[in-house]
Amino acid sequence: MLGRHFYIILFFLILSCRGEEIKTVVPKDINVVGHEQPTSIVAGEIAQFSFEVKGKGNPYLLLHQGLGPMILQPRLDNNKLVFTLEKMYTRQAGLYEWELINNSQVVLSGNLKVLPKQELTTKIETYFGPRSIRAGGDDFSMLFMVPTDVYDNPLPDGTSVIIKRQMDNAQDSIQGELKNGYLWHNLFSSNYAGRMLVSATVNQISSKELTSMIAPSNSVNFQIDYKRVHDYADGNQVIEFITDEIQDRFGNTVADGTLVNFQVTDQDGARLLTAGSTLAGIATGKLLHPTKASNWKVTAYVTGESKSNETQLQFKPAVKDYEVSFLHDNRLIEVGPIHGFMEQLVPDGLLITLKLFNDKGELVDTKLTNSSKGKASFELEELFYENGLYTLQIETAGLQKEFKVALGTNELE
Amino acid sequence: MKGTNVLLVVALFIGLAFHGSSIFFTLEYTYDALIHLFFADHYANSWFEPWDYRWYTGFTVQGYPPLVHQLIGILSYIGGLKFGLFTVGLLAILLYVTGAYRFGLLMTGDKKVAGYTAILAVFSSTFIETLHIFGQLPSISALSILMHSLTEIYLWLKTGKRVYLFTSLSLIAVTVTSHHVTPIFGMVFFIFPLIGMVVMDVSRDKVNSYKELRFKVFWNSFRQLFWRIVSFGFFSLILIVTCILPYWINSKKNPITQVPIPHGSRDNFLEVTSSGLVFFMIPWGILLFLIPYLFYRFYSKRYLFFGLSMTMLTILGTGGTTPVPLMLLGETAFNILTLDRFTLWATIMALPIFGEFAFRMVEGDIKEKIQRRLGSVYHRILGGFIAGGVLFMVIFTMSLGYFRPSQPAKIKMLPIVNFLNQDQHDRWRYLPLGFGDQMAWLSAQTKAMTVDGNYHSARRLPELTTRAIERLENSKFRGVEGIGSLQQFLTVPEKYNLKYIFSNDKFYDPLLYFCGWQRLQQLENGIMVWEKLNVPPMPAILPKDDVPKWSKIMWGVIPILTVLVAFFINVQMLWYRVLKSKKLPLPDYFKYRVTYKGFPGFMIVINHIWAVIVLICLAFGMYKFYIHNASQRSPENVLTAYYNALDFKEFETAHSFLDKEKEVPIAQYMLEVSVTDGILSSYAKLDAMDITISEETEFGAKAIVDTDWVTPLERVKKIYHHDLVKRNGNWFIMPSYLDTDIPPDQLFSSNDTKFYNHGRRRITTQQTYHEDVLKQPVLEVLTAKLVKYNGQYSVIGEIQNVDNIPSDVVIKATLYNDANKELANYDAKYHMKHKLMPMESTSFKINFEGIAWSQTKDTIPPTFNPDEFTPVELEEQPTKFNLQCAGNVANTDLYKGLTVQSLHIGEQQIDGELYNSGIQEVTIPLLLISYYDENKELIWVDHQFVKDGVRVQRKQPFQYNLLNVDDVSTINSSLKNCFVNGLPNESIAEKVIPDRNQTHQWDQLQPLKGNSFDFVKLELNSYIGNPK
Repeated sequence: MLGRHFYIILFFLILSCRGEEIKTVVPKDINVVGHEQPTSIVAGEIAQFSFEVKGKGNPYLLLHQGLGPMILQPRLDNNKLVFTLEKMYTRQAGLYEWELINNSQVVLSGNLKVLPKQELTTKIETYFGPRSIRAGGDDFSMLFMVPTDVYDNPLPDGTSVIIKRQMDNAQDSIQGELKNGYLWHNLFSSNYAGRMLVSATVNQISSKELTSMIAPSNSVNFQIDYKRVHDYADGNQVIEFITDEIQDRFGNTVADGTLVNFQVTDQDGARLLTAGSTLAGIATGKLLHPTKASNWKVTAYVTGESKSNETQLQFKPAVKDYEVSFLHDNRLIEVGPIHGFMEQLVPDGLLITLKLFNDKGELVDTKLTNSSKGKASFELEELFYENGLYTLQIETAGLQKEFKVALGTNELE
Repeated sequence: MKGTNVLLVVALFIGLAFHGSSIFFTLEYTYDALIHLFFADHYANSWFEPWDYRWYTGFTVQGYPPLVHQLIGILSYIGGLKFGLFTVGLLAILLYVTGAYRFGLLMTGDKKVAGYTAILAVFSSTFIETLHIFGQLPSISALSILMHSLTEIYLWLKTGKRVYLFTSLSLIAVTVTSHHVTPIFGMVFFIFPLIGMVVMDVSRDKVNSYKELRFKVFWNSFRQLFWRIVSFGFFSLILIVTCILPYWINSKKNPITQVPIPHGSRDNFLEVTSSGLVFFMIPWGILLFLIPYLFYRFYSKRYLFFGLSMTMLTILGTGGTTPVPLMLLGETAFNILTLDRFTLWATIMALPIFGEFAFRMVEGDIKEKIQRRLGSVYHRILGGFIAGGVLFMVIFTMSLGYFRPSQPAKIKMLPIVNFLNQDQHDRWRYLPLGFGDQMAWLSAQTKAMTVDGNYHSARRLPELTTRAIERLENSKFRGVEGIGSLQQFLTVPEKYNLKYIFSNDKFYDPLLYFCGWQRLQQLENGIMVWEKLNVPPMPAILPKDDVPKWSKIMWGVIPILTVLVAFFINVQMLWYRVLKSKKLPLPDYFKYRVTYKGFPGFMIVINHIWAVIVLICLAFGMYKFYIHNASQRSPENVLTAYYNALDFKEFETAHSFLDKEKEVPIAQYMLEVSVTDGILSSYAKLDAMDITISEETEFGAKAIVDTDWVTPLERVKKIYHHDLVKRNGNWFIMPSYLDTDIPPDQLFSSNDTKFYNHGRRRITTQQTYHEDVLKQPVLEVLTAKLVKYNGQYSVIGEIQNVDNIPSDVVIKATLYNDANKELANYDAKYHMKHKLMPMESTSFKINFEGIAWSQTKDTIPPTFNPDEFTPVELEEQPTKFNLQCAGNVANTDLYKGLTVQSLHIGEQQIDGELYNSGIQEVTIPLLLISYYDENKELIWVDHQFVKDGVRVQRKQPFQYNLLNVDDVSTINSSLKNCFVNGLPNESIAEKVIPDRNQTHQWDQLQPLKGNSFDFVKLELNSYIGNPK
């Protein structure tokens, strides 16, 4: 390590010694007698620096600009040193510092201001966000813009900007001025849901169209109703719960897809649940009719924001009574025909439960079946159920019947 | 001996024609070939860079000797990767047949016998299996070259001519660079016995007959040859070490931490008969009948050492059938090595003796003896039997891959490759599911990276090394453990920058859905693409384990160099030998040719007895197989057969077990089966079954069937009750009752709000335009708590989508101790609804599981069972938590048609019915149950998958057993460190719903006085298997 440092130091020493030599051996000095140079140009123009000098030397012009330093070599014109800064080098607006340097010494220095080419404003860079806000006037989207000239230079402070806005079937415009090259403006929502379109104009140049959605505000309490074919608890028809058009406090319909929970409390206090998402403000929830007489209380919620009235409805029993017959030494149990509310056979699929208790009162088996053409049957085969006394509980449509049966005989209690 | 060996030419001709043409139909479907292809692709693209980012979040290819891969890689410049693969395959066949010939020649000193050996080698079932079913190209190449080298080693040891030392070493070097295990074990099992044989031959020269050859003579000869042996051993050891030095350094630096992955070759072949077939019966094939002859010849004095080696190999090859291999190899080696290679070597070693047998049988003394003793007809029949046996094994082995394909059907990769190249999709990792070994072929075609891989010794992620699974891609075959490992990747995908999943197996779909993934599109080749929102792209600079430059250069240069050197050293001899351009002196081993005369009669008897024993064993095996299939002999049998038939979806078979007298027509039965959907009927694999016969009379029985299913989500136990009857000596199952429920409406309508997201509206190769980026939906955390239950920590809470657009929700919780030290973090898995409509809320629970393995490396649980969950081994007590929630616009999986139709609240359980009121069939309903105390404060969140699906306008009963939440203790309950989309939850709560009505939440709770809780809340999430 030490060795390496030593070599590096030695190398620099040698270099610096050489520099010293040149200075002392060939001294050159110049004096500037007169000079002429622009102090401010517009981006994309040529800048000429001319210096009348006396003395001998190799002067050059060092230019500091945003992209880095740049060296210009002179051209001799009528004993004047002329430096030309071509137009492709003046595209970037800003402050350029120049130094006339001879012999590593600054002879003369000054500034050149390059201004943005305002008359050729071509583009307005814009950002607008958030892309959706809520109605009510508290929420806003911010428009941010940077208008630029043809060379992508931001325009000077004070340049006037017109922001145009289309909202609620009306247009308005807002005046503004650039500061630090840009402008931002908060555009607040109104009380109406919809869409806000904005654009900006600078020097007759317009930005693209930008948009922010104004979504409805929080919903307010609403009403619900229900629709059903009949009021019997047949366990087959569908009941629909429907909200009216859910709105926010300004009368805007809530956003499509807003979830509404319909909470149904039955006579036993069990909370059934259905849900619907709104379409044009209306949500629909569906449930099947219960299988036995019931008393339902229904309330709908947009949780946290709003709720509906409570609506009550009753279901009458669809089946009043049914027959049970025992065949084949009581081993075949036929239930039905089960008749519905207008003496029709009940729709297929009514659940019938048979609970079989032995003579000690222990549950032996639970059998399930569905009604088909109004009837259902259970078979208690000898293979599985020995002869003896059993208690049978049959339940369907909320109606329970109990029988004491001796399997293997015709006896029935 | 004169002229070209016609038998060898025939063997080469048939070998190349038969194997050379069939590899085009088999090699791509083998287990290994495509892995080698992937490695080859790596070398073709970056020869000197051993790091490959594409698998396992980066791994080094220095974990496998590179020669074969590099050869394929070089050849791929001519005609693509597959051209390289097949060319190397052809080369391997060529080397194998000639190697077998030279090995036969060395062993017997008889060109004719060697010719027979070569022909039998072509038809050897072990070779067919290794090449056409396993696709182990490096192993075959290395073994073939090892066989070539044996002659050279023999000649060096015998003659001491230095040229043979060079030739033998050059070939050893090639062997080493193609496969590392072959030379190491080849040393022990092939070269040691060879040395023994040389010493024996030298001793034989000193005496007049083998009878006079005593140990003393042998010892003297050994001392005489000692330095040749040592020099050869020394130099080959140096070669083994230096030629693949980077491999050894890598194995030292990255020791294989992988827990043993079960391999069929370690099974007990008598118990797992399929393994016995593949790893014992097929490789041995017809040789099984000749075992007495093989050992008789191998235990003659000259071959004695080969005999010992053969015995060892045979025993080691039996895997777990006997405890000997485990004792010999020790626990570690036994679990790392695949033992089928020992059988491979044993059967290859047996080839010369088999060739000798064939020669003697066809035109030698055995033929004479049999003809004389048992007549020439019997000899012909016997010959026909053996030839037929060989042919049968060839056809059987070749067809195995056709009838029992080891791979899913060939997948067209182009649509996937295009998808990955589009729209910067390769900036995220992907994961193929259900691709089999074809995943390697996909990886070879794209620059995109996956977290999975197909060379498990190279794994680095602890999530993978601690699992005994081959690949994530086929994790379902590893049961719950495999699924558990996959779940980790699916739950926390952002950790691995995993965004896309290509699913070729719908089994995984429910898991993906409930972990919060969504379907993106179906590609032209039928592969479903799933994506996960809110996963950041991979950083531009990925970490890698760099190796020194010299190591890279060695790895890139030496293997090919060994081939060139071996070629130049051996080419001259080859030239002379093949083209007979120069008369070569007869090699030494020709001296030890035996004249086949006077085959001992007792061997014929013994071998016949043995053959009869083998035949009896086979017949017994077949009988057992038949009896096992006699399904209606007992109630247990018929139930087992019924459930197996259901498991494999063989409904017609299942129907045949139902009682004919209670006739359910097959058409009716098929209809019923086809309309049932749900986790059990569509996504489960029957894992175990326990049948209890509760009452059995002569003609009837009642059975309780306790089934255990592996589903993608969790292990499911379900108890079924059946009545059985016996009719005409056969048992039948009584059909269960039929659900005759009919929905009210034939046709009905439903209105739904649908959402569409354009993605990028402007097509650009740059970043998405500002206006095309949607605002993240705003969520609000309503409650969040850190709780401890049964010794494990969970973060529970409720979150609501308070925006006007549907949202996908990702929740990540981090635990801290008092000193704000991070202890663990994890995402919500399926204890939440991942997709929320505007104003919808969900309860959530986050369990901390993955961290256990990444932090405490030594307490890794051996198996993962989602039900018996291993809690995190936290070093310190967590006291705080941080919740990061992110919303992203969702437009799929927003089905809300599932409702709670009825509810009966018992003391210990809730019974109820779900009703599907919408127009999509719900395949798997999920119940989320939240428990609240008397102040309506959330205590705990639980879940239950309902086992059956809910069809449209139909009901499905469910049952839920209430928990005892007495010992849930709340550690921290604060919304302070909850953030939504990076903003504090508090500021959102104030802004969006400033006047939130808390009672709405409370009103919707179900009052239920239970064990230390007073209210519950039911929420529903529905997975739709086939969205319409």
